[in-house]
Amino acid sequence: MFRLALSSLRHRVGGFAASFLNVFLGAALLMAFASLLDTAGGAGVSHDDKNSLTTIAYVVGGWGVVVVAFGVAATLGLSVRQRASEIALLKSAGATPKQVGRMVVGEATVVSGLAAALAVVPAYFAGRLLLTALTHAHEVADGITYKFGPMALAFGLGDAFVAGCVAAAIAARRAARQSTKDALVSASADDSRLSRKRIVWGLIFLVVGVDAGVLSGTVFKNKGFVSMSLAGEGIVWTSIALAVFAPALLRRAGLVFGQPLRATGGSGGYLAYLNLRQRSNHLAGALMPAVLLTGLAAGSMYLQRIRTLALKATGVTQTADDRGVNTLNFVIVAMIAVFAAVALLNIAITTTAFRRREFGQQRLVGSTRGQVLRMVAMESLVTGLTALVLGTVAAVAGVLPFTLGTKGASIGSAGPLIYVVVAAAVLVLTLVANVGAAARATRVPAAEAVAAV
Amino acid sequence: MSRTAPPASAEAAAALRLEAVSRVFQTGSRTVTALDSVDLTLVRGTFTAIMGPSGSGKTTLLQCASGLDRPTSGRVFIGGQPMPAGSEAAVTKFRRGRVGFVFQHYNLMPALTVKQNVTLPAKLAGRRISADRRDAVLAQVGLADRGDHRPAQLSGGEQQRVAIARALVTSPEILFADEPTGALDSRSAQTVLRLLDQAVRTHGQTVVLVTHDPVAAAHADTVLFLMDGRLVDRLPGPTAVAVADRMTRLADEVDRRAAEAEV
Ligand SMILES: Nc1ncnc2c1ncn2[C@@H]1O[C@H](COP(=O)(O)OP(=O)(O)OP(=O)(O)O)[C@@H](O)[C@H]1O
Ligand SMILES: [Mg+2]
Repeated sequence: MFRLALSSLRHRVGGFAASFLNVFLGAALLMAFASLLDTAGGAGVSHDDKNSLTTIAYVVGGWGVVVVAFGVAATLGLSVRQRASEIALLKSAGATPKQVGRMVVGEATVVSGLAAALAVVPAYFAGRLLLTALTHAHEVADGITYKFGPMALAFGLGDAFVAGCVAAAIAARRAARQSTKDALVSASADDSRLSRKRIVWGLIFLVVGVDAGVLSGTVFKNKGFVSMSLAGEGIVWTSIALAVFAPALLRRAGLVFGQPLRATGGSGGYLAYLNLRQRSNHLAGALMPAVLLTGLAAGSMYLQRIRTLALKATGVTQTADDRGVNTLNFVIVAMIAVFAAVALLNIAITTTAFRRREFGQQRLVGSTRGQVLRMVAMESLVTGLTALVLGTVAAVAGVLPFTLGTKGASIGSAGPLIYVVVAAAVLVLTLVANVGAAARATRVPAAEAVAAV
Repeated sequence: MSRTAPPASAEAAAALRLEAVSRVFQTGSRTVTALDSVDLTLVRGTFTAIMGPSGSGKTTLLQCASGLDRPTSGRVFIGGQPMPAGSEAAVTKFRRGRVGFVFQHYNLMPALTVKQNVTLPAKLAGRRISADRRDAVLAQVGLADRGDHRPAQLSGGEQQRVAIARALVTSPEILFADEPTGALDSRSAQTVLRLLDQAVRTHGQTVVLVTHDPVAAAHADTVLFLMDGRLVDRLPGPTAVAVADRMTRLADEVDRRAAEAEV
């Protein structure tokens, strides 16, 4: 089965590229921060520096681990689900569910393992840059020797790699259990109802998120970096909770936007509306990274801005160190945002490319390419707007308690500019990824797209 | 559209006309002439079957005639109007409404209900199909009570009947069916053939059917035989026995040529 996995890998390099990229970036991100722990453990590092380094590593690790784990799991899980028909075929040829599972997990192991291993190189240099930035911000003393060792590797492998393999195993188990007929029915029937398990997990994540947010404004209020990062955790977990409910929420959004879509969108709007209602589960895939991206990017930048303004309002003058910390914070957010953006692009592109056959069928019965693209554009507009709303809710879940708990702070003072920029970025990314992938998927003649299974 | 000369009256009655249509496939260094300068005129309201050995070009012929594929050379006319040579969008806009197509593997949209599938081509063309018209066609194919089901909830035969309803609902100039019974059991196949037959006899629909089954071909007014991309024979008023006989001779011919090629 492992050999089968390898040969299947060789034949679908393109399909695995997305998973590879996500694990690679995620592992690099985590290892860069975790290498600060290795550095902290070095000889001749003062007690204070050790504290600073571990705090930063854990704080960022706290969000980073979660964001990377879910981002990677979403991509790998999707890549397995998209192979339902291939898996059904293998089963009808006599493969047991166990063998199928081993093949899929085998592939995931190879892809994630390779990606995580290669990520060591950029992680090493990124970690070094981080240390330099910390030194410049006077967070730690000059002359600390950079180290990259077991902690970095443990985080990189322990999170990105394991998350990838576990997600693949779960998706494979589900796929292997399903019959071909069921796979077809569930692909077409109303499948946006949430399973009880899903609801329970969503609620748990929501409680964790709201809890972290509230803590940042109560027990841990006015603790600078710590309150901010707690608020950040609140945003991350709330984002994930909302993403867990995404299929059902997107279906509702389809209903809300349905009237305007059908009224103004022609046949594209009509089909977009039907797809949003009927196949929200498929379209919801890219929602999680989009919600995370919105929540994190908007949320953490507002956190920072509100804190700075609050300090100013209470008459504390900003030192060069404060500005250094701000820059550092910005870099951290940017890195995680890049990861989420890549996951968003990955998932959007993979999901849309997978609809090649469906687009082909639509073109066979008389849809022009333009009509297909307009349909996809309208679907992704609704998906993007839904992600924005959910991401905003998640951001508020972190920013609001933090602001209430910070002396002299108010949300209104921070102005709308950050939000507008983030919102525009998320919408543009979603649209460009989906429509671009649809344009590619409709390049071949329709008859060919339908024939190629 | 540029110059469309008014068609002569005899040709105005032609639902389909092919003029020296060739289709050449180039894959790597290999060149396959799937259609070799085919001329064909089909009169409105006729039922034509096309038969031929595997790889003889039947699917290619249907796809070129329907605008799903483009001939390498030659011209196609539907109802006297030339198939535009412009962009894919121009061809699509031309064929929807004029051409209905029934595929071997149904090609229904999985997310849409039966009713929505049937009206989709008209929706795409920006036209409205009245609910009465839609329901009448669904009743015609015997699926009046299945309108709100989705394709995955239907049997293969039922799905193919939906596909026929979808092709008929716009009253196209011509309906092409490429092995529509290829994936069906004999009972469902019978139903599908009866529906096509009915469309011709009672609604004056023009139908072109590709099939490997002599019994199916016997439903047609005329059977055309295709070999190596050329129309080599025609059989008016076919019976299953006569068709089977011609096919056997054609197969022998293929074997003989293959043997000759080896020498
Ligand atoms: N896209 C393509 N690229 C290259 N060659 C092709 C392509 N499509 C068809 N051909 C070739 O053209 C010839 C005719 O194919 P076609 O599909 O029209 O045959 P057919 O009569 O429909 O066969 P069957 O009865 O098996 O369906 C074959 O030799 C086939 O290999
Ligand atoms: Mg064929």
